[in-house]
Amino acid sequence: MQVQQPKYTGLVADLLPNIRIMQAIGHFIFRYITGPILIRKLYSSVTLVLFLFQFVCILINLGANTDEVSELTANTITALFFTHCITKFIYVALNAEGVYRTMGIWNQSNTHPLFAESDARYHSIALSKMRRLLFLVTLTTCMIAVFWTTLTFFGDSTKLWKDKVANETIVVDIPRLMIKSWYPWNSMSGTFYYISLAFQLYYILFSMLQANLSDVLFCSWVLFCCEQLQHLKGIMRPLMELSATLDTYRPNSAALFRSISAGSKSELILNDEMENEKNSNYDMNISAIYSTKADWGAQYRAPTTLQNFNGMNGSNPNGLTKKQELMVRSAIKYWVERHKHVVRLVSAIGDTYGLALLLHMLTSTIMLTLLAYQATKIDGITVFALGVIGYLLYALAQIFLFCIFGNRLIEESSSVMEAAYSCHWYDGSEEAKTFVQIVCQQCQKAMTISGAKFFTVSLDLFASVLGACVTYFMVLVQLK
Amino acid sequence: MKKILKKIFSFRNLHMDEIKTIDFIKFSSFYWKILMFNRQSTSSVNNLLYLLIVVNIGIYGICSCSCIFDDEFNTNKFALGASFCSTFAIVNTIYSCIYWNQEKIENILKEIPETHKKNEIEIHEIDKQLKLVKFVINNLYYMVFSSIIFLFGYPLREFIVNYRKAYPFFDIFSFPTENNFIYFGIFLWIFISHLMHLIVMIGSYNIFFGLITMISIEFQKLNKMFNDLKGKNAIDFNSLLKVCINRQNELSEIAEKLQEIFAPTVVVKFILSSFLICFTAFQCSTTKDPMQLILNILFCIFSMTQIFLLCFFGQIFRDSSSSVIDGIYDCGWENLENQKMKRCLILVLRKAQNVKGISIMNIWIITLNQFESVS
Repeated sequence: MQVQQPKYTGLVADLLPNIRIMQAIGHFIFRYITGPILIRKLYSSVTLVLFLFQFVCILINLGANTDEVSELTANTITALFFTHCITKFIYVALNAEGVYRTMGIWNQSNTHPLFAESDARYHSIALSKMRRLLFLVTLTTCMIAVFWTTLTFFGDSTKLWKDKVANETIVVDIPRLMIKSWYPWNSMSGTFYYISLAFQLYYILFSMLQANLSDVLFCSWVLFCCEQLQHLKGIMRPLMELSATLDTYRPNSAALFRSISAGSKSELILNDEMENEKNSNYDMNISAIYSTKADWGAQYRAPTTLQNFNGMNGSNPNGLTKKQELMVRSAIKYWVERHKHVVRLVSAIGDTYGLALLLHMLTSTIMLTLLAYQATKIDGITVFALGVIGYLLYALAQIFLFCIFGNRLIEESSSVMEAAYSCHWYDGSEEAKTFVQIVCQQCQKAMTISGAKFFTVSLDLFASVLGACVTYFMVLVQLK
Repeated sequence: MKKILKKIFSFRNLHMDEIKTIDFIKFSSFYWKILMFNRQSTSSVNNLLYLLIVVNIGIYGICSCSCIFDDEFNTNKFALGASFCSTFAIVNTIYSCIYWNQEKIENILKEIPETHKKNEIEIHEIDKQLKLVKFVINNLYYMVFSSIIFLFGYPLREFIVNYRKAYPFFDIFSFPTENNFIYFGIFLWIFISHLMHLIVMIGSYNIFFGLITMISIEFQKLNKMFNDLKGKNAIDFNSLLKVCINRQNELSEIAEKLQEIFAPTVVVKFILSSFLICFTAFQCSTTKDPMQLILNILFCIFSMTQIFLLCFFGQIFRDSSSSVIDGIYDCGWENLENQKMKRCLILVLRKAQNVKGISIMNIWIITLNQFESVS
């Protein structure tokens, strides 16, 4: 039986590799597939059961070793580390509808013949960046899993145990595994040891991949929005020039309007721009061109003419004909609709993933506090030191990943106003100027992603987390 | 159990045609009457009742701080006493705010329509918000009521089982316990003050949060009104825009009035709750007596809930106020031909950007960000 490969559009098509890998490692995402869903559901459920089993084993180990403080701290850090993974797994499972809805927002977007080229260019930039991000994060996660496994085979595999009878701390042997965990079987040696080792390797790799790939999904969405905003900023200038007045320099003004009526692309305008900017004496050019009236042609109108809203001559003050005016209006409409579309996507992203970020931050805060305490006990390049530093860097890197993309979104959306101001708005028609006014007013408020309204995701957040961590470390070192 | 949960969480009730706005701020008619919104009774009785409640709570607060004058200064006792005092001060403030501004509140209620009809805004959205307010207030009610029962049940049990006279709250009051008569009298007085505290607290919070939710709904309606301007012809657009702008001004004034009425409440609540959280959290970590620990934990949870609710509703208010901006941007201005109309919209947009919210002395607007920084 031939199964038709469905054609995916929009965000789904862009993020298909990410979605496929997420489905392969067991996330509860059951759309965008051809074939039986039941098997996939079974696979995801089995993965969930295995992960929960391992997590519960870690917690049992934590509960069994509460007497000795350093063991308690280390086990708590491990438990919190894997809380992220479980939380993200269950969150995506429960919020799958939100994910599908966010993916579906960009299924149909508006187009305009003048700006299609710019649209395609920024879309491909976004696509390449998303692929690169996915590749880097997957590679890093795999490398960390390998590093962790390698580190296990160095140093002593022992733990500290508080002997209540003699009231002293003794050293007890434990199996040489990546995570200190209780098992219902004896994993000291033999076949069970290898089974435990393989299981832990699978667990570490898959759960880290799960957590990181859902973060990558979020970052890819934000990246897409940023590139769309870049596209909007990029077409602001051609839009202005589309409606430029005739009483400023326009060396090929006749060609400009000829090209519009021929319905051709905007490269002509852009080439003009580039040509003029290459000339070093920009001002000189203006005055030189101002002096010659030959370019202005028959549609010249004196600058002191009062603007006439009745449109008695059948054309607007800029001297644009009806057709050109309609073209300008359609371009403005495209710009505004696209901007609203981006705003809708950003709010959908915030609604879908905000709570996950909040839970992540809560867990990370506690984990980083404990890691700061552990860091004060480092006294040389040992396995312990490498472990603590590894955990620290990993936690900070996770927070840094989504903070940097959230920050980029804030910067891009507030720079739209500057782009609107820095294009030649004074050349544009009245309609274009009013458009610039409204856009400037609306874009003063930056688009932000918030963690369920409690905090905004930006580099400020990362700086405050880092600052708090360093403060705790300094205080604890002093107290030592 | 499932049926009850379904009833609480069933947000979709599409068979509704209208919702009465008074449901938002009325917990029950009994509480409504106690809070003296029953204008039929004479004003002197009202004033007397108010004075009685305030003075009673005041005396109770002062007594609880009387342990400062004890010979041995016990931080635990002082902490508990101060916690009671602060809680009662908070409740007293909000009650007084409502009492002294009854007329203003009634004026606000006049400007909000009495019922929400089906076509003005999605009726199930309003139903959702109504259920949210009810859910919050009901939970608060049950929480406080059950803690009162627990706290009073313990000494009663002690008395019945061991024949030991103990006041609730573990002797922070230096009252004599020898005389049976005095003991029962004072026990009854403490019990009645706590009940009064409960009634006043729940009623006042209901009014406060209910008012905020009602005004948020009005802002959302305004957002929808601006949205509906899409696709209208020029003349309709003009007249409807004027209606929208008038409504925007009215709502801004209402928000200002609300801020004026509840300004002292907000300040006092924030400061005292933060103080309470710090103090009780510290006590939790140093005290050894399990019952005192429980009491401290209860107070901590209670003050955190207070601040959280304040920030949560403040956030709702602020969000609804800033949704008007999106509504104006969405009103289809790009299809207009008249430039003058577009310029008017810029002014409207600029005005809408003065986002209204409950603020502490007009410095900070209360949102969930504040809650995060407090905790």
